[in-house]
Amino acid sequence: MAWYRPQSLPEALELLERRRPRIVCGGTDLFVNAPRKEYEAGKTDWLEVRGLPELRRISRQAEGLEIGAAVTAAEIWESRELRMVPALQQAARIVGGWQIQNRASIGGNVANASPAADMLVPLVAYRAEVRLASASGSRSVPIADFVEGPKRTQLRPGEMIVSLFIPARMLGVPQIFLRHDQRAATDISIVSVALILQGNARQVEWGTAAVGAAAPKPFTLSDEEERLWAGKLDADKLRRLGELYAQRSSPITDVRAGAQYRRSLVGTYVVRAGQALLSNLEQTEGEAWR
Amino acid sequence: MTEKLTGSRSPLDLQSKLEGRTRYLHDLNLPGQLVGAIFRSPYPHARIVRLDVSRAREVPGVAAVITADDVPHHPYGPTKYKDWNILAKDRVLFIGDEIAAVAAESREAAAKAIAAIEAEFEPLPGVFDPEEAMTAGAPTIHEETPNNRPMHIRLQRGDVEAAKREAAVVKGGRYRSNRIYQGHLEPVGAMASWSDEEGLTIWAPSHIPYRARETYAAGFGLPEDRVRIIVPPIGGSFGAKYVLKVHVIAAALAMAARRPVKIILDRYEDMITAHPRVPLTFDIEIGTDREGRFLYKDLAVYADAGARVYWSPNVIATACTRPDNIYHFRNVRAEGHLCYTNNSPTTCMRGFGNAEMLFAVESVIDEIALELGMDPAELRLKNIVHEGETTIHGYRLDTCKLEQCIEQVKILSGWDRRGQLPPNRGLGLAVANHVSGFRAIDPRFDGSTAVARLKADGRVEIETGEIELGQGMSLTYARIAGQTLGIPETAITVKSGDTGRYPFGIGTLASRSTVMGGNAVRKAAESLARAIAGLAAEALGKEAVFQAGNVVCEGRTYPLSEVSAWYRARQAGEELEVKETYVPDTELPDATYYGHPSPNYPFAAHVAEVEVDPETGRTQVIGYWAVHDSGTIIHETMAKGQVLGAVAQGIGWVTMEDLLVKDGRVLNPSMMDYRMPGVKDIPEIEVKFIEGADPNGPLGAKSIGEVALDPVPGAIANAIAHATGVRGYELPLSAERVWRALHPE
Repeated sequence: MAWYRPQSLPEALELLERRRPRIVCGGTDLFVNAPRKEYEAGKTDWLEVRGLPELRRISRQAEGLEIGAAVTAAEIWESRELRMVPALQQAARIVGGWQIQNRASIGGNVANASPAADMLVPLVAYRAEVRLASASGSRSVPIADFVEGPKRTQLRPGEMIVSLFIPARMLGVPQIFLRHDQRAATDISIVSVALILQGNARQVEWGTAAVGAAAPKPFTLSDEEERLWAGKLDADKLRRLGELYAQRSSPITDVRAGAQYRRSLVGTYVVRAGQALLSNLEQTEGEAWR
Repeated sequence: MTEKLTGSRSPLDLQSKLEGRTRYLHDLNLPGQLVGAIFRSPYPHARIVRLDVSRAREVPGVAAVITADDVPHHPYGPTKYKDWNILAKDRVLFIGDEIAAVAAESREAAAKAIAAIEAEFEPLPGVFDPEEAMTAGAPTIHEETPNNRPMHIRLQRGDVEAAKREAAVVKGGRYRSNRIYQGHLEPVGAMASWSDEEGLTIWAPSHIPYRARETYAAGFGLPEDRVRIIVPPIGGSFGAKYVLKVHVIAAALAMAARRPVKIILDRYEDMITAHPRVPLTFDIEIGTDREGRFLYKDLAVYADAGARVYWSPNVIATACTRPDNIYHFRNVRAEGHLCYTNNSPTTCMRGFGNAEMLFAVESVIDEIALELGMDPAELRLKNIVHEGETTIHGYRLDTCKLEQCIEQVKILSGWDRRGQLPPNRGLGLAVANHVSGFRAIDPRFDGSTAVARLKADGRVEIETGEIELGQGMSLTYARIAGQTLGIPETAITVKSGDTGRYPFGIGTLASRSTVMGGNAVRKAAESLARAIAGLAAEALGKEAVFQAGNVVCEGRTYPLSEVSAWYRARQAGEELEVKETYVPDTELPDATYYGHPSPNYPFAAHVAEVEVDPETGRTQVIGYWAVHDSGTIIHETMAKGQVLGAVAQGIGWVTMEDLLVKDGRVLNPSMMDYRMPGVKDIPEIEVKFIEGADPNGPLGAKSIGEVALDPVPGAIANAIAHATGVRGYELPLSAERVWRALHPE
């Protein structure tokens, strides 16, 4: 076993290319699972990316917001700059417990690609891009494509996640993240929803939602179906939207919940997210959102 | 720094834990110690066709590899059902059944050796449900018990059939209690060492070490006094850490390797081989007259013992009888079936059959109240037992303040709001009793022994055979001895947990420790006071008296350190020491389960308030009130701690906890997937004690540990039924299960 702690991204990419170690940031998934996954964890080489300055940045650009892959959940919900993405902050604040939030990184949450991942859900709703780099270059992949299924991503050998990019049109738009779990805190989500709505109850300009833990990966509706959010949003329409998301979900039965129950929760939580946002909007009517 | 290997602890135990200074088994190590690991069955039921450990023996760093060929095969077990082995010979009976074991220089070498063991199995049909296990054609698990039913209880008092003909209201149904992982913070483990001079020494966090000693000695064919059990501080047990195979296997490895061996299971191994709360199925029926007077209770219980008998017989016997001593059912009948299955053996947990049974009984009583249009509190008050009565099974209630408990919990909880709650809110009441020690735990004897010793510096040392497992026994004994002797409890050290050093003890189970051990401590302290007074008279003349912790004579005060010096001067340097045994005035229940088995009986009435989210089924317990009759409260902080912990444990049990087992395999063997409550799931809990001295308790005390959990499932289940209008029959009443009940397909 070797433990590499490079000081810069080029050095890290070079090591990655040459030694093909396993990338680790907070280790909150990898280390918990390691003893059972491979009894001889001693044979694995590790590349620690926690300290890479290129992966630690949060930067606001004209086109959007870039969050470095090694930024932790705690840093996300504590960040003033990230108040523009409250749904992501809410998701970061509910991941694991405080100790986990101090270590777990946003890049790790994406790379781990758990169907129940929390931070992944608002990122999918934002249509975020995953920015990747390797010794031979860099590329950018829409997050919905990058995550292929449970624990499966498009990450290629020799490649690492450098940052997540959220397009400008999502910033500061009213949004919320809600999750159903088995107990009041420190849990794994049974169903989660991130909803973004531009406008108000009388006239929604556009809306989008991503649903987590109810399909092999977080899902959104098709562009055409998603346009149903626009216009007047009353209780009946919200209920129908909830039903539509429930229909489009494909949950499984596992030790945490049954598929039928999860499907019902999808509808319930889409409606709740909508209600919560609309009531927030009414309270802040007249206040500037941007 | 060398490790001090001792089971003794001071009353400052709590502070050590807070400061992280308590040294658990994990922290103890012996020179030359090896790491033990276990090779287990991957099948719930299989014949071992081939077992080859030769490659394992060749792994560098391996000191011993043992199989059934290397260990004795005496029939043994902790109860009268002697169905244990040390390692499986030709058949494995559950997933995790132990086949071979390895002792090595490191964890890695042990793991490598386990991976190098070659085994072939011929899978056999398994049976996983107790009722199926009794059907013709079910695979036989133990040849001595062809019908898979090692225990069959039948009892009746009065005439249930006749009472059925008179009943105006009959309610009941099939209720189920589930497998609960005890959820101790400290995983299961043991350390063992063998020497020809000393025999076998096992460091094991067991709270019945003397029974463990007897059991393990039988397993190895050794005389009992060749086995010594030392109990390090126990990091939680709740019933899980009585007598365990991991203790036996650590011992067998130490004997084979001739070096000390320590095995500590990680959480995964602990949980896949867990011995959870015995799951029970109840077919119950209670009948009343038109006024709500109980006429009978009729019951059948099916218990899943798993593949071997741990403590399940006592659990099912408790379930069949204990709640009959709360209410005047007038006619009772019970049939209990304890069955072998190919699941991991089940065992006891706090509440011990009573909490499970009361979930069903208290649910049915609320159903009767609903049918009669009667307040559930009123219906209970009409039928409960009272002080001075003898119950249907012979329990003599010298004290019983259950009625006051119910009246008080009604006031605290604002029970009168029950008719006007907002939607989806519910209030539920449940009551409970328990014992303070149980005569049949060991049919040969009951009671406790304590030693009180005056140390050279004037401190007093108490030795007991009972075991501290975090419940506050040492603090309680220090207070009993301190009050009896008139000295500060900080001047008292309580020592326990070493079968080689301390008096014999039956064990900390059946809520025994305060009353049984406490009475022995009281007797020993009284005896020491008499001895000190006698010594003072001898030293100073007959005017000398022992009062308020000092000897006083002719206006002069002599501290205990001086008294100790007098004794040592006369007795070759030895310390003044007395030993006293308390034997309770109880009766061993007869073949019909009749008898007065405990010195006294605690009671409780609890009310839970819940809010149920009808769209998700999720229950939030938003208020909780617990009123207890435990006689005199000796240590209020610890007594309250017992209640708060029990209620939290009960909230987990009822709303989320469930060890899921399918075809003998645990599906959620991690603390991530086995959900237990966190602080946000526990509401403010108000605890109140209705105090009053019981004549048979030390300083008037009765027990608290288990009676605090017993009413919780019933109270929450009744609150959920009140909130939703739908009765839950099966624990846990998890969000999904409540949602299903509210949204039938």
